[in-house]
Amino acid sequence: MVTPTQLEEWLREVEERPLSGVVIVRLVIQRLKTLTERNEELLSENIQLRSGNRVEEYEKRIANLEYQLNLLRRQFGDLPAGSTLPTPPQVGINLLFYTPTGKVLRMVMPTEAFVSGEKLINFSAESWQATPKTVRILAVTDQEEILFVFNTGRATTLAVSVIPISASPDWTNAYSVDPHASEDLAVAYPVARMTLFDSCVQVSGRGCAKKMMRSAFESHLSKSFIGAGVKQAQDKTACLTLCNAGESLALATREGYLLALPVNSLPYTIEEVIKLSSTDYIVSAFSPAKKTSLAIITQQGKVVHREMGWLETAASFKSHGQAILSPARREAGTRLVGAAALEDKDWLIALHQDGIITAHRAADLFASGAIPHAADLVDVTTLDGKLLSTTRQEV
Amino acid sequence: MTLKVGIDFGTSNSGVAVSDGQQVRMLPIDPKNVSPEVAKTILYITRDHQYSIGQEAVETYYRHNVNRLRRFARKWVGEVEYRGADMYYVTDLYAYVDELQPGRLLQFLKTALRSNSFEGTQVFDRYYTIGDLIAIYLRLLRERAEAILHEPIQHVTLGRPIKFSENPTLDQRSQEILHQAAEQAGFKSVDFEYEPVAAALYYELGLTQPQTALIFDFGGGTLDLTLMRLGERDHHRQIFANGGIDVAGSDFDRAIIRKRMLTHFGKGQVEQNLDLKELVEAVSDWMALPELSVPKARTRIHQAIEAGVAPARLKSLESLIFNDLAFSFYRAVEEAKITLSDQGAAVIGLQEKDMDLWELYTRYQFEQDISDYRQRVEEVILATVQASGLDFSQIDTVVKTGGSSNIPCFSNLLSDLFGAEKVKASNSFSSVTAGLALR
Repeated sequence: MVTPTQLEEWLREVEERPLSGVVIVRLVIQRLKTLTERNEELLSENIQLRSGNRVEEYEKRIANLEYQLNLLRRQFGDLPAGSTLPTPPQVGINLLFYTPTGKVLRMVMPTEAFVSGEKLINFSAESWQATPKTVRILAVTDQEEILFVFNTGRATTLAVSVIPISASPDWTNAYSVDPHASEDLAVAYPVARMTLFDSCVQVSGRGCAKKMMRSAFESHLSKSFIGAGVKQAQDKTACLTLCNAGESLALATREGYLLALPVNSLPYTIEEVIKLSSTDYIVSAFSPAKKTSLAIITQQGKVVHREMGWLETAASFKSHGQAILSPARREAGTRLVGAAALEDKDWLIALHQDGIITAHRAADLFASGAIPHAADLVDVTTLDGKLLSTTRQEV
Repeated sequence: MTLKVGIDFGTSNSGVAVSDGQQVRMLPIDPKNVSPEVAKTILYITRDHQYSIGQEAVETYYRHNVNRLRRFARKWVGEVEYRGADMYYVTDLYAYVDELQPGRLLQFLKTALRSNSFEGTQVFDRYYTIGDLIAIYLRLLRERAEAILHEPIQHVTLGRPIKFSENPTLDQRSQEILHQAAEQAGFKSVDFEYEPVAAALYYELGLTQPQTALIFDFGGGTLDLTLMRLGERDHHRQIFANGGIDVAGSDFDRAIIRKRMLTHFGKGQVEQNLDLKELVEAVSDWMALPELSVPKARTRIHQAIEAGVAPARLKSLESLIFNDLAFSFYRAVEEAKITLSDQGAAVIGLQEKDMDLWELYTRYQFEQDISDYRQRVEEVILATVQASGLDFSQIDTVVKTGGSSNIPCFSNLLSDLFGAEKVKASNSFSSVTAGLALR
């Protein structure tokens, strides 16, 4: 900063030696030029930040750094003895299948395998027979870190790269996250991007939720606060979602209700946030931030498409949410397997009751209104279209 | 005929000259430097005790240190005995040591030589006395010179200021240390000559008739004055008076930092926090700054930044201390000061990680900042002339040499006192060295 005294001194210099005036002007112009260029760079950077491009870039960079950090941790013995050595990054998308017994199966699917509406892979008959019907699916990148939450509230994290890759969907090669006695794996969720969000929201099957701030997330993990503290003993964590302040949290129930709540109003201690019938439970929780469409998927493979504006944010925790299914269809036994906020370019991965996994571009699903496969659905997961397109470009 | 070798071991720069009786020449001892005949008086010692000097030392230092990683470990450094009236106990002392520090850069060795308080320093696992450090520097200088001459150098004439110190004991001790260091460096015999006298000898080469000259040798560490008769046919050189003070280039650099640069690191905004104030003020002390890079200092800076106290400036301070930018910073200040000898304004600038220093500095400001020093220089000139018993009109010429002698306000001072036509500039960086080889 230039003070008036300094200016006065510069002027005195010019008075004493007029030639210095030229030098001073030249030096000030040089500085001005530098500052102008820097200002322009900062403005451009600001635009990139506001448009989200830079955030995406940083997200990727952070995920990669976290991956490297985990590699180092393992290299220097931060993991218990006997942990599997990390494998090098794969070009492709990781499909993770996990069961309440703590078995995790990792398969890496090359990006070329993702053809909309086509089969991605299938379990063999024997393998599928050995698969619990409560199996869940997750699609993530190599750099992700997965948080495994057990029904006791205990949680553990694991880099995706640490889980051995299976060549085929065979549970004999599955990795075990070692649940304790009488402990079930409740949910697995990718958390590598936690640092980019303000909070993580935990939602139980019976519609109870609590918000954990980013700064306290680590202690929630270490003290097993996460997952524990549900209102009913038999209730357990169903979903985790990363959210930012000012966004909303959408909850989809098995019996076809959808409720959006402002993240700011969510409690820090577990509290019931949606009224559910005695037979209903939460199947999906997600933040619709920045996405334009909602996809609600029924067990039979019907895809209900709604614009995001359709979703109304509830003012209280006593709401049942907006009904997706007509009473007749609900009576007839139609149920939801999940709901998600999607863009046209995003993908949906579906696990069917015949052990077949199919991949679908969201735009195609919105157009056809259904997942074209005969068997009912067990679970669905989403895949950000950018991940697939980026990886494909790299290939 | 054997070659005569002279070494000017200066505060900022050093040089080696040889004379075969016919002619004297400066040796290109630092080929990497802009002026190969001058080597910066800088020594770099790596963790495995490899040594480099001059520009090589600077480059190695930059390569190894700037923006490097640090890892502090608490290490036992010794113990302290407490003795009271009825108690006695010993307690261990620990210090935080940067385990990743690759080396130490040492400069201003000559200033340390005449310091009463500095005896040596610990460089990693070894303790180096000031004599050891100077010996290493002189040995490397000797080896370079021998490589150019293709013959061993047995004898050397070293320059010394008129007064290393006002204290005669300290003055004597400083010369003894320098003498021993030269012997330790491999010179079989060592002579000394006053630096201004050496400059006079070089100047005398160009004389056609005898002159009474005031040699004004103003370098990085001291101002030395000698008033003597030169150019007599019998080579008799009568010295009328000697004088000098501990004021020179490094004092001006410090004055600039103190008066102009500390605001860039938070001065004026951290006055409430005494620890931080102390840290900021230490910036002007080139010996203290490297010692500040400890976790405690970093924590204090971080706490203040988090509390919103001058965050950008304290970030600069952190960068200066913890990214090993002190040397670059002092260099930027010195370069601006040198530029001001030729033009009316210069920029003290440093763009590094978390730091964007820009200070437009004018000659007017510089002259204001060093006006006290100018006063002291004037006083010592007057005192020296008075001690000689000569009148100003009896002095034929004033020979100025040394980097600081180019500073316009001192040139003007000499012109005002003696008349502009009498003031002659000798080669700023080589006249002393060349004169030492002539002796």
